[in-house]
Amino acid sequence: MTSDQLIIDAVAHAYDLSDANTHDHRYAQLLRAQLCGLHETWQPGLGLSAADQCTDWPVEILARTLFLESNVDLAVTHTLRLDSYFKDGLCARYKTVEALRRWPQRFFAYVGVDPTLGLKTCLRELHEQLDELPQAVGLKLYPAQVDPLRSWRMDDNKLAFPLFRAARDRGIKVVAIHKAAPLGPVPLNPFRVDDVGGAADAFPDLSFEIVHAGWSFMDETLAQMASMPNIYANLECTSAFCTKAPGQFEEMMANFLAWAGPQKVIFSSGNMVLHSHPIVEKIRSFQFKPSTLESFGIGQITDEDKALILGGNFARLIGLDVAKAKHAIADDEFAEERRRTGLQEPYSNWRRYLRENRLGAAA
Amino acid sequence: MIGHAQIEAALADVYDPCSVQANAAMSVVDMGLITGIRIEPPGSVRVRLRATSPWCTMIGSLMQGIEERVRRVDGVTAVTVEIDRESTWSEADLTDEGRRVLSGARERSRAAFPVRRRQWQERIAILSED
Repeated sequence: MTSDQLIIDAVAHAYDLSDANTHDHRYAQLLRAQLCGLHETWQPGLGLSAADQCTDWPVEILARTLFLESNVDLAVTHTLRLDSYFKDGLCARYKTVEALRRWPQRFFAYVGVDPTLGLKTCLRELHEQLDELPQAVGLKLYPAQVDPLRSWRMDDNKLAFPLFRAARDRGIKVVAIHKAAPLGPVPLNPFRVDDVGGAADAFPDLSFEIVHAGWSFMDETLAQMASMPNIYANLECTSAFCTKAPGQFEEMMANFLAWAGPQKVIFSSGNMVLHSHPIVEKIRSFQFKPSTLESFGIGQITDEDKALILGGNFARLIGLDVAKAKHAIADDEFAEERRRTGLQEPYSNWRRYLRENRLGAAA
Repeated sequence: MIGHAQIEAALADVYDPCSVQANAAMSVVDMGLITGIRIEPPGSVRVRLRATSPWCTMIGSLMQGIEERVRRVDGVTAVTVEIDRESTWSEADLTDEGRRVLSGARERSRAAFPVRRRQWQERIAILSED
């Protein structure tokens, strides 16, 4: 594929995994341990220690990690509402605002609400966040909370549907629902995907991303993606199978391409939990083995397919003017520094920040 | 002397809870989750267990089930279950029996909910005709 292809990382976050921000209960402690383990073991040799990860991650480091250490051009950052695990929800609203205000040419925003708080609260918070960030293109949701355990369904016409209607009426184009990866030692059912179809059917003018698609409940995910025009696989974290478990990645991609097609798969890394660079490069050079083509009855993945997965699909979902977007980043601060330094080492900006406790470009 | 076959037979009685929930019930052996068995005379047994993903929330329950079942084997005096963090699981690690169970469950599921590949494209074509 050509190097001038626009690459969009569809999920990137600056978490706060500090002790002060993490609730004391076992669900939160185990989820934090899971995230640290993912970072340390899924891209061996790249990651930081758990102690370094258990800090508050600055948005500027996220931006530098994305745009100076990888070939990602644009990224989507979500306000996260894991309020029952982390006091600020894990990635606070002010961080989304900071990313969009400082680098509007580089970031897209998803606002976030917690449906377990009830419709009235969700609608109030949705409008507050969209008043603050009217350029937001998406809404990020989690299916369950803990302490006490509680969940909701995407096809609930009394809770979810009025929320989707309000979001759509305010210009939101994409609803992203975390699925497939249970958050700590919790019941599995809220993480199944069977409820997404009802929402997609009721709101054909919204697009629905199943975030972490492919991690589990694969058959159900494929059935939903195959039958609904507006359900997409967002590969946050599952994309790292390409470096950790290439065979599993190949099988997952063969399934997605066979049942849903390349138009329904959206690349994301979850940066900074996982680094975008090795994933992007693996996808760029990815080819199915002949035995996989035969086994799944599919054709070889093409450069056009990869272009869709790495950015084209997301650009289409939000109606992005690609030429304008490319022009806006051509000479910004990241482009200039990148021309000066070349591609920087994975996590070098984060390491330097932790070592020297200062932001900004390297001296 | 305790034999490997006795331990494997005991492990074949321990079922993976997610496979049970997915209507494709199989043991930890058929799932390919056991990556090592070491017997240290006179009666100590060490079992290495991997999860299907780092998000596995059932690992504690699996460890407990293995420990309880292996402890019931004649001659076993101590059981240690270790998590194998190095090896990665995929469907390729299923035994032949595991593959048979899974493909049967998938066929039943697809028969119950017939979905064709890229069916959404037909739906768009119908919508655009309206």
